[in-house]
Amino acid sequence: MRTLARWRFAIVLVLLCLFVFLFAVDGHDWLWPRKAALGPHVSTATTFWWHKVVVGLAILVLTAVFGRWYCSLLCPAGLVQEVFSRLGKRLGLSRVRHRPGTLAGTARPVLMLLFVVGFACIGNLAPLDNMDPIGLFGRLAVATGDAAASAQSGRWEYDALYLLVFAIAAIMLVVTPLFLGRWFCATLCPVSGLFHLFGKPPGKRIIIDREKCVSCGKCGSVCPVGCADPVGKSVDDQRCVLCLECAAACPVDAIAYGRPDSVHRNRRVFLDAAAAAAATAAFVSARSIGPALGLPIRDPLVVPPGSGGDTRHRSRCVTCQACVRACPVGIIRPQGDARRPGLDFSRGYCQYNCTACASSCPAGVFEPIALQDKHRTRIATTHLVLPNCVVITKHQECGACAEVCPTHAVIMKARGPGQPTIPDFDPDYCIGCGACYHVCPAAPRAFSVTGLAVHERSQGVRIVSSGEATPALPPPDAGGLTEFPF
Amino acid sequence: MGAVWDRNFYHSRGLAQCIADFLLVRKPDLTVIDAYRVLTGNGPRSRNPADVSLMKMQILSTDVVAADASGARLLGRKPEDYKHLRIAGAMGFGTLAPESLVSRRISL
Repeated sequence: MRTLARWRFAIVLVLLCLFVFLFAVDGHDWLWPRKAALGPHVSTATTFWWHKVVVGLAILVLTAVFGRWYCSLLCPAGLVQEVFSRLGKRLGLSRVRHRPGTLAGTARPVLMLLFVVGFACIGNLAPLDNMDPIGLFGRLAVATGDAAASAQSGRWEYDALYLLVFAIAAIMLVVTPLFLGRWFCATLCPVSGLFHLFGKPPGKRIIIDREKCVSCGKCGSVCPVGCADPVGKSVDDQRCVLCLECAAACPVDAIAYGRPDSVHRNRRVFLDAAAAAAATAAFVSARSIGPALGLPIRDPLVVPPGSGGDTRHRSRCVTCQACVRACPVGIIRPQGDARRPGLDFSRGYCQYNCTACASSCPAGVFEPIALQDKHRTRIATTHLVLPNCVVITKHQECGACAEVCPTHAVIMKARGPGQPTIPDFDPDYCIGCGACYHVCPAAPRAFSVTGLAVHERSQGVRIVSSGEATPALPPPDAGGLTEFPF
Repeated sequence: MGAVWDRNFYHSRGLAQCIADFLLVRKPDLTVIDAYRVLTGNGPRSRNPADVSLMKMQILSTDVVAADASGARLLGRKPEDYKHLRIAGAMGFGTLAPESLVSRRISL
């Protein structure tokens, strides 16, 4: 039993180390090398917003009081697993049998807190983050939707990393529970590990009445994690996800979800709740260490107008992918290891009169932005690379960029008689919508667009006088031509 | 553009030639050019109201090249200045001199 508990503890430790290693925040590549993502909980995008902090804190405090209620009540991943776990039992595929586990001592919570605080110091609130049902559900839903769309179109449009993430998620949530029940929840889930810290033992737990119990074994056979012991007449809190199936299955009503008899229970609950509050405060303050130290941020994403820039976006986004779904052109895509949404201009460009993404965000990433403000918000820095332009390289006429630029930041300028016009770019008017980049026929493109840490304000629309002499033509408010001009 | 699904193809292979080549596929039977409100500068999509001229005119022709050349004349330009018209005229799809055609001028 002890060996089994230690193995489980070792797995938890290794995965936490891996989690810390794999899920560093975007841009802090001086700390971590290239990495691959594991499973559906791919979220290092964090939120500093009070709403998330209060929710996270509430969850942790309630866990101290009620046990690991979140795993079977709120967690979207847990829910999906439960469906397939039950299916597996019904189909006779399940290999789940009761295996007792033991607690590994006080070293575990200390190490856990160190991991969590260490995580937070590099700007990552991953344990707190994955307690976010909105974010988690959004990611799962969008990933599933993407996969369904790709299956239908016969084409996988997204990068290999995304495919790997989705494949692992699908296996973890669908295939594994058929055979192993909620093994992920009890063994792998880092959020579950965090919950265990804050409820050890929990204020409420599954209790088997030893006098009533007849050791029929029904609780052991229905338990999805195999922590119900019909012989020992007890349920292991370490793995129990509070699905309450055992209590439901017991034919003599010997199993209850109640308070254990303990003199020190209240003090324990209070201490755990206080620890939860302290940990949350540590997350929140540690999150700002990175920016305070002026850690360099490389390759800021192009983030939608209204989000204020990459720095603000990364501190608030929960990567629920709601904006990914909302974008009518489909240019907002999860990017990087954190799957944080950014604009991908190879797919299209930001529509001048659209603010759909700002209205869709449930996490407070966007300031409410009026259309006229969006028209003056620069979300990316654009550079015109004239040597790549087809007018220069192939002496051809083009003008695609000037045609689509909504603010006339890029216009075509005449070079001389008989020569095709060439693009003239004024960055003061550019709003970084990516239209010029998207339509440019040159390969490589004659424009490069990079994200901004803080969004800027543009000059508006460029008005240029035509320059060339045109014969006197009637102005817009005149009555029209009265004679044929030729 | 209706008939053209991949504009990049045109823009990367010589826009003027591609426009003229389209006539090899199908020559329009009737070309109508709306010259009611005409953009005279900063095209193809200006944000400056001063670039708009109210002409209240319309051009109709069975000769697509002549119709386009008339559009150029409407702006006070010479049709020969436009490469796609030169190419189309050289390929024999029409004339660059709309005056040479029998035309009717209708005032409403």
